[in-house]
Amino acid sequence: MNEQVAIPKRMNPETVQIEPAEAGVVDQPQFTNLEVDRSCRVAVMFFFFKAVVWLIIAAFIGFLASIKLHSPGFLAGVSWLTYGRLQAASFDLLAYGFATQAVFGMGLWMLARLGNVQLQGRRWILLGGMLWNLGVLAGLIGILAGHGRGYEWIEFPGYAIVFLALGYACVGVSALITFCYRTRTELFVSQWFLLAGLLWFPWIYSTAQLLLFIWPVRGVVQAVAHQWYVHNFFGIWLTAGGLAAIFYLLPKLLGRPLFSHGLAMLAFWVLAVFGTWGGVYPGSPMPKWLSSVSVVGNFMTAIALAAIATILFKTSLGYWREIRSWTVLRFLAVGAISFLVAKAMGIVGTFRSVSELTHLTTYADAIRHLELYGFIGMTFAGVVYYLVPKLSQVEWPSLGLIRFHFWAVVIGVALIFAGYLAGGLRLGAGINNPEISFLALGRSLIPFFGLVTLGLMLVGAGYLAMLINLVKICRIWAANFFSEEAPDQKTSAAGATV
Amino acid sequence: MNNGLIIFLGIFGALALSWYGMIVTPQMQIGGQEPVMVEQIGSRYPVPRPGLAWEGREIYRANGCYYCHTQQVRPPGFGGDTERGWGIRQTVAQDFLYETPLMLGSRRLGPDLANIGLRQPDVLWHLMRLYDPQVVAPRSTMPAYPYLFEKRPIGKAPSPNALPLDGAHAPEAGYEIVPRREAHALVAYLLSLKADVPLFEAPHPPSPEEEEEDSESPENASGENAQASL
Repeated sequence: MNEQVAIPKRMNPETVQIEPAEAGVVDQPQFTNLEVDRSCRVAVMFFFFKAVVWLIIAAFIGFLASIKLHSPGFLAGVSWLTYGRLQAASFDLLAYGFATQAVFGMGLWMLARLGNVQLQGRRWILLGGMLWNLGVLAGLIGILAGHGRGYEWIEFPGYAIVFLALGYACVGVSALITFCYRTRTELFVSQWFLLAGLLWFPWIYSTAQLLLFIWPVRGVVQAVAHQWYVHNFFGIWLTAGGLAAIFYLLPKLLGRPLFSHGLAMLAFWVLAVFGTWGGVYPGSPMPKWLSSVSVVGNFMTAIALAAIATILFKTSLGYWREIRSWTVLRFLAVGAISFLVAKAMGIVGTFRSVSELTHLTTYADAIRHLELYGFIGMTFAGVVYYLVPKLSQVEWPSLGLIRFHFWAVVIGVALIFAGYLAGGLRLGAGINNPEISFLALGRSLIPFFGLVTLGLMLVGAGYLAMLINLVKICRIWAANFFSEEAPDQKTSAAGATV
Repeated sequence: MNNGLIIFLGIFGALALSWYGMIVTPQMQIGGQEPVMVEQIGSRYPVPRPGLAWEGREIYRANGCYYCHTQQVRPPGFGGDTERGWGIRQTVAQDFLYETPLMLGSRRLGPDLANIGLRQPDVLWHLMRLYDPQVVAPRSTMPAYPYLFEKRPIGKAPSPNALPLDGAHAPEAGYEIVPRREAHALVAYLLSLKADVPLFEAPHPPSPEEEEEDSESPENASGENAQASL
C-alpha cells in the first residue's frame, strides 16, 4: 500500500524548521509541539467535527436541489423544499457551517503552533463555537422557512446573525490574543494570511449586514456592497485560511523551506491591496467605473496568483514521488490545484469579452464549488488527516476510507466542475444567440446538471467516509484516555501511517 | 517583516482603501439618487410599487426566485439580452431606487424578468405558470409552486378565481384550485416589473427616421437633446 511507505528521514515533520532561522538568532522554543497541540485539541476537534458535519448536510441539500434542476416535479409540493430555498441553504451552510469553521479550526492550531504558544481563551473559543453553530442551525431553519434575505451567500436571517456575531467575537478575539502572546517572534507567511483574514472577515461581514439589512442603502449600492462582500469572502477570508494551511504544511511535510519569502510577501500584499477590489461585472446596472476597477483589481491579482503558483511549484519541485505517495500531501496538492484553477477562472471571468459569455450563467457556480469542495475541502481534509493522529496519539482506523474519501471527492468535484462549467458556457452561448428559444436552451442543460447531481453524491459520500473515520478515532482516543494504564501507546488494529 | 504591529497596520490600510473605494465612493456617488421627471411619460420615475406588488416581492425573496431569474438587462451589443426581447434598453441604477432587497440575480436558469410585466401582462397566464409550469409551457424546467394555491371542494358554485385547468392538470372532480393571497401578490409583483421608461443614461434605441434626423442636425446628437428628441 502506498500510504505505508516509510517516511524518509529527511522528511520527519517534527524536526524540520518551518523557515531557516535568521543568522545569529537561535529560538529556544518555550513549549514543545506536544504541549501546544494539547492546548488546542478540544477547540480544534470541535471545529473539525462541526465543519465535516455541516459539509455533509450541505452536500446532501445541494444534491436534492440539483435533482430539481433536471426533474422539476421532485418534492415540488413542499414550500420548505423548493429549489430556491434548498440551494440557498446549501450555499450558506457551505460558507458558514463548513468553510468558515474549517478555517477556524486550522487557523487556531496554526496560530498556536507558529507562535509557539498555548491556545488562549479556550473556554471562550468553545463558547463562541457553540454560538456560531447555533447561528448556523437557526439560519438553516430560517432559510427553509422562507426568511432568507434575498442576497446569495449572505441569506441567514437576523436572528441567526446575532449568534454568529457573538460567536465570531469570542473566537476571533481569542485568536488575536493567541497571536499576541506568541513566544516565537519571527512571523511566517501563514500568520500574515491568518491575521488579514481575522481582521477582514468581521469587517466585510458587518459592512454587508449594515448596508444591506440594518440601514439599507439605496438601490444598486446594495448590489455593489453585496458583490464586494462575496468577492472578499472568497478572495480574502477563505483564501487566507486555505493558503495559510498549504503554505505551512507543504514545506513542513516535505522537509524544506518555503521557496522564496520575497515572492510570498509580494503575493500577500498584492492580494491585500488589489485582490479586495472586485466583484462587479461589465454590463451590470451600476456606474461603469466600478466594473473597470474590478477588472484592474483582478488583473493585478493575477500577479499574486503567478507568485503563489511559482512558490508551490518550486517548493515541491523534485518531491513529486513523496506528494503522490503521502496521503496528506495528496490532499493538499489537490487543494492547491483547485485554488489555482478557481482563481484563474475568476480573474479571466471578469474581463469584458469573457464575461459577455460567462456572466449570469453557472460559470460562477463552477468556481465556487471548486473553491469550497476542492480548495478549502481538500486542504482541510489534509490538515485533519495530518493533525488528528498527532492530537490523539491514535492512528487512523481505516486507510480504505481515506482512500475512498480522496477519490470520491476528486471525481465528484471534477464532475460538479465540469457540469457547471460546460453547462454555463452552453447557457451563455445560448442566451447570446436569440435564435434559440429559451425553453429549448433550458432543456439542453439537463445532462450537465445530471453530472452535478452525481458529483454532489460522490462528494457527500467521500466526506461521510471522513466522518466515520473521525468518529472511530475519537472512540479509540476516548477509550485510551480513560484507561490510565497505558495512556499513549495504544494504536488501532489497522495501525497505519498516513 | 517580523513586526506584528506594522503588518497589522499595513493590512488595515490596504483593506480600508478597498472599503473606501468600493463602498463609500459608490454610496457618495449614487447613494443619494432621487426619482427624475421623465417628459415622455409625464411623471417621475421610478415610483414605489403598489402595496400588493410590494408584498409579492417578499414571496419572490422567500422562495429564492432570484436563484434562477435575473432582473438585469445588459446593454445592447453586449450579450443577446435586448435581441431576445428581454428589454428595449439596458437596466440602470435609476430603475432600482426603491428595491430592498435588490434581487438582480446572478444566473439565468430561467429567463430574465426585468420586463416580465410588459412581455406577459396576463394575470391568469402567470397564475397557471406558478401552479404548474407545464400547463402553459410544456417541458419547462421551472419547478411548480402548488403551495401558493389552495385545493378545495367546489361549494354551491365554482369560485370565480378558480384556475381553468383541464386534462391531466385538473384536480379530481368536485375540487378546484384557487390562488392564495401569496400567489396574487407574487403575480402583482411580476406584473410590476417594467424597466422600459426612456432615461437620459439609458435612452430607447433610435428608430430609423430619428436616426436620419440626427444625422441632419449634428447638435441633436449631444446627450440632453437626444433625450428630448425621443
